Amino acid sequence: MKTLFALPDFNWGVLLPFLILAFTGIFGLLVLLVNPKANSKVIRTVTISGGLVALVSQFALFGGEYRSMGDMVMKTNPGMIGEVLILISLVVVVLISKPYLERTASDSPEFYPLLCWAALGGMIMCSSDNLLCIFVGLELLSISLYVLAGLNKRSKFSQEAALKYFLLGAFATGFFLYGIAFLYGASGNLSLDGFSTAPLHSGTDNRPLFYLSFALIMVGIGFKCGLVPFHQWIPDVYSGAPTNVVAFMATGAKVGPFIALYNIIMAVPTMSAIAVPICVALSILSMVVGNVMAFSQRDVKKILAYSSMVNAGYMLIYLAGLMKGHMAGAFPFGYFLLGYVFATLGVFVILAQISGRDASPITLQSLRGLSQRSPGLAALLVIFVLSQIGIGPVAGFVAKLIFVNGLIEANQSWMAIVLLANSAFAAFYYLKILKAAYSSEEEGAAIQFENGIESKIALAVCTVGVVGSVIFYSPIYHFITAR
Amino acid sequence: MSSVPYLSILIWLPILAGLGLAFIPKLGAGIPKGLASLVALATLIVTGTITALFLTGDAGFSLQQQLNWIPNMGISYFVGVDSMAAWMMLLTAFLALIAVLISKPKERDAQFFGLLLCLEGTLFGIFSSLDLVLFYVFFELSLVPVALMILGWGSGDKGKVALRYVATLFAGSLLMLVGMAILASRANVVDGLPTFNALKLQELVDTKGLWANSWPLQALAFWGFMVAFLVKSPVVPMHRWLNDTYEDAPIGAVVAGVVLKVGTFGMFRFCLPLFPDACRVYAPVVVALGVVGILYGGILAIIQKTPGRVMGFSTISHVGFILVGLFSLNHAGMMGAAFQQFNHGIAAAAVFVLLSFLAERTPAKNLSELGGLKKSMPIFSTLFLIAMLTNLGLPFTGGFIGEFLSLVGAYMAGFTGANGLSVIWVYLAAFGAILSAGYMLYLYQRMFYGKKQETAEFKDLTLHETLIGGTFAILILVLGILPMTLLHSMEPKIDALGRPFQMTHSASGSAAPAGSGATARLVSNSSAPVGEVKLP
Repeated sequence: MKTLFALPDFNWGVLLPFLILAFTGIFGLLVLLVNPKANSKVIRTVTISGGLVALVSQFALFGGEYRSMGDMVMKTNPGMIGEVLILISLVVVVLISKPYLERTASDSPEFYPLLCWAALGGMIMCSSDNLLCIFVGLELLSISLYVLAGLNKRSKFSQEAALKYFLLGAFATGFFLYGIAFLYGASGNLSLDGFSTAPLHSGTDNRPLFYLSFALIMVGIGFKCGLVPFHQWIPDVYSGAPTNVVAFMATGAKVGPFIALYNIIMAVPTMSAIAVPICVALSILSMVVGNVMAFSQRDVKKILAYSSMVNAGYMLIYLAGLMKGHMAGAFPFGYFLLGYVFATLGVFVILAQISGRDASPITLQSLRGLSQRSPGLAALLVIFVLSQIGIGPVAGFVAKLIFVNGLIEANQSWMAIVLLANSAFAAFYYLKILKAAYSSEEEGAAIQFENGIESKIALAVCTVGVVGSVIFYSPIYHFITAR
Repeated sequence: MSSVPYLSILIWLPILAGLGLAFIPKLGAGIPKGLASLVALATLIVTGTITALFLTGDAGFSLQQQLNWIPNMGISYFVGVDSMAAWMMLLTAFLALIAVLISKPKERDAQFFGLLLCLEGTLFGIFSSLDLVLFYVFFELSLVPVALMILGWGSGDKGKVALRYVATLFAGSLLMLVGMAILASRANVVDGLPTFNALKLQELVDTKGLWANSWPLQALAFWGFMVAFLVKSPVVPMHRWLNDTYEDAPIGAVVAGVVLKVGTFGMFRFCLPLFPDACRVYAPVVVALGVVGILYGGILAIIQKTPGRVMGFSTISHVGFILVGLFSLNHAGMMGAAFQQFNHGIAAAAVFVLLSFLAERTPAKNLSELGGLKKSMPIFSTLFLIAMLTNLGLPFTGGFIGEFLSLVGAYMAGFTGANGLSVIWVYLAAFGAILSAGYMLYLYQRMFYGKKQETAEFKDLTLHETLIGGTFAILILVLGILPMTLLHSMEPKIDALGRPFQMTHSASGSAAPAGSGATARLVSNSSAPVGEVKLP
């Protein structure tokens, strides 16, 4: 039997991506320590290289399942897909940050180490079977993001976002920890396996404890995933925080919580009696509230904030369907995240390019004339937004198709119909973004955008992710799921 | 011939050329148009060659090409062409070329022609996809170029029109995903492997009882597909997107000619073979929807104030005839529907092309601002007359053949009571044919006779325009006088599609065989033009 303090078997190769990322962050701080006047160029270069090396070492792990340090580190799918996505969004965000931070004059070198650690936190959440370890990852991710949200020290929106995020986030974390405590009380175990193997009846009826712990954990994780009704922070933080930080918040920082959610839900088949209704209720709430709220927004970042809730709803209803049908869906779930991350990242890369000197909100109005000024940028925006809607040979469409297919196979046609009905509704506000980009610009309000090499690389990465993952679906599938 | 992936070239050449045009920001004046015409001409030649292969009549799929795409779910890149698709692709290529030739965008012409080529490519994709997912991808993708063209070069409240266009059609087609997933999961049950391959699914339906004991699922899947196709067709009450699009789209000709036909084409290709039981059960519902469309469109067309809107409602009415013929589920009706599907593409496009010539001469859209054009524009009014006559279904124009055959089919089905159809529907539909004479003649009168407005000094068509308009006029007459080329070519396909519905008839031992037997050979036995065939 595993105990909390069993001598762990370290498997350093498996830990390599974590270690690289952690040391990259520390190195950045050391550079600052040695030379406080160092400009951020060195740190930025090191961060990108660190991210890329970690990415390579992560890719080398595909095709197997690994454990390290007991149950603390567990590399399986969709966690490994998630880690790759986090690393890619880290690199992309660092790429777009240079011009953005310089333009908004909020370039501070500590940005890069913090981003590294946020990514590390997300990766730890992806690849752990132990709730305590997931909690450590969650905290690392959250605390880094609290600071990052307030990065623009001269913008009151940014400061407000940081404070809101911190207060609500700390509160939600408490719920998560409380849930873990109940679970430990019920099962004497902190591993997710404990969830599925611990007896519901051991002399006494343990079910209330299990249910309570599950509910509390869902509150904590639901907050990070942006599930309604734990979503209040998202719109304000998205709108107020610097665009490059939000780009990471909406993509890389979402992956960790979602994978943890997947792992938790897949680990509780014995509790499906209560878990399925909770998940269905939360997901329908998220989809409907997200859609309704996004409908009348004019702030593009807020639209994306609400749409992230809707996407969270899609994922949760798929998980509910999996639970109901007793199926596994590691690859589909990972693929959905992939489509979501690349498409969202692409939109944010474009938003970061056009956001102005001041940190004022980016409205639909400010997108007008994009197609006249830069047909290429507008066409890429079309691709990313279409992927969010699910039109055409793009990752978003295939991901949705896989979800619908899975739900039908699990004999939950109605869940598939709910999902699709919501995505039909969602099309309206996504299309508004395109409509704005293809409207003619207003007199004297010429849209400004920068088009440096960094942004071009970032856009290329996102486009390849959105389109390439569809064309090369089969090779990717075999690469990831090969045993 | 099969070694060259002709269909893939047809699909991807225009799309890639279009994307290239859209991305390259600056090109000299006239170059984008020249490039686009070259590409469109090339596709016309290829589709013409492909169609020639089918002139002898062939029920199967040629030029098949299958590549792995998502094998674990049974999804592949699978294209192939049958006779009906070949004709629709020919129509697409022809109208795309015409659209390129007549378009004169005021600004950003590279982007405009790029989008037009993208639309052409996605339409080729729709007509040649034999995999449901691939079809769906192109089906949705074809919305995007049209919407962007409306946004960029439309008139009026273009933002709203484009939004409504995409949102309506996208929402309508989403349930099709559920239908597709149901088909794949049923294939998994009966065959052990999920598949989205339409030919494979058809084989499973025919031989392995894909739908055995799963009626509610079949009904759900059928309506998933049908809703998508009906919204696209469009039927009342899902028709609002159409009129706005007609009024504003600078490419009304392509939309009216081909984009709409995707709906009825999809019914032919997927609904009939994949859901035979549901087609029989719900045939009366669809026929009723068709008749409602015929009457509603016909009546509202009379009172419209712009030629574009008259054409919009007339289209709803004509699509009704296609639906009535198609869901008669017998030989004559389906032949009529297939013929009308092609013919209306020419007929509606002819009117739109002529209207676009008029639009270059006057900004006036309203019929009250037109009038007396006959004297100042004699060539224009003659060509318009021919285009109008085929729209109202005069004998010796293509419109007559299509509507007549559809009505014959519906009458036979109604007379024998096949699939619960009733003759009442035919009477009502025939009344719609009278309405079409009404609104078309009324439109003609208001435009060409009556008081001369200040439009009187307008110059007649140039040589270039006369050639384009004349091509349409010749096509209309050819389709009316020599329809057998088209009918013969599509007949084996229609026979194959209709077989499941005929067989169960004779099996059920109703009074049908006499009627449907006579119908089945109605066209191919008669050596005379179909126009002279009398009701049996």
